[in-house]
Amino acid sequence: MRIKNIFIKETSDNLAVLERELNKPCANLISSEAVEMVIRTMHNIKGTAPMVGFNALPEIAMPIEQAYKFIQMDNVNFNPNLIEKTQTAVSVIQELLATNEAHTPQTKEEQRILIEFFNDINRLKAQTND
Amino acid sequence: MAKTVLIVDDSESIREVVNFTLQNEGYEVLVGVDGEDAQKFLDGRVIDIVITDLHMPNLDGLGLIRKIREIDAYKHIPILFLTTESQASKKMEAKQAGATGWIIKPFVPAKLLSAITRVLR
Repeated sequence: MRIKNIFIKETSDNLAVLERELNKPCANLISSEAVEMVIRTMHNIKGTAPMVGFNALPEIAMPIEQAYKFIQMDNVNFNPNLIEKTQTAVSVIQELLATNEAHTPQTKEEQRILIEFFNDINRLKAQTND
Repeated sequence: MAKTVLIVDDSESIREVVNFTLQNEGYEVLVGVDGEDAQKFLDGRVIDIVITDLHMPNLDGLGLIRKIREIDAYKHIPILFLTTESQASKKMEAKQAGATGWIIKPFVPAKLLSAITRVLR
């Protein structure tokens, strides 16, 4: 329980910093610092969440991390909705953390749409790299 | 005599999981928050094994492994890296840098302990 609380606090803090970074006005472009921050935050969620009982979080963190790795490699934002979708993803993860992954029908649907959005980026990028 | 383990990870949760698991088994644990921070322990003291994350700020795991291997006292100590990356290329890169093996995150404590026991044998 103690380690789970540390995870919740650590991840919530990281998401709050990320939220502030994503809210900075910069003409629809995401800074390299924010890209790195997204990758690190999602990476930590993916690797740690299941060890403290959050089994559903990696499902959403994985496609986001992968999409941002592609963005980092190409140094471009190739989807105009990226920032908005990432902000929504941050909110969904914050809610799942706060409710111990108790999905409401709304968060479940939001999560499904977000996973699809980031998986689309990953599929497109993987095809481009083929 | 208790074996000394240096664990390096930027995630406090992972550090706590590893620290808790190892201390319960009687290991002495040193903790670094990233590769740069961990270097303060590379002062010639006895370290029996290093467990490090790969993806970290300041100095990442690959950089740390290379630094460790440059120091005579630590040239041959086992180094395990913790990673969520299951791609062969990442493992190969870490092995070439001097890692002994890897543990995929998420892991259960028993898996961590058996990996440590295996390389310390």
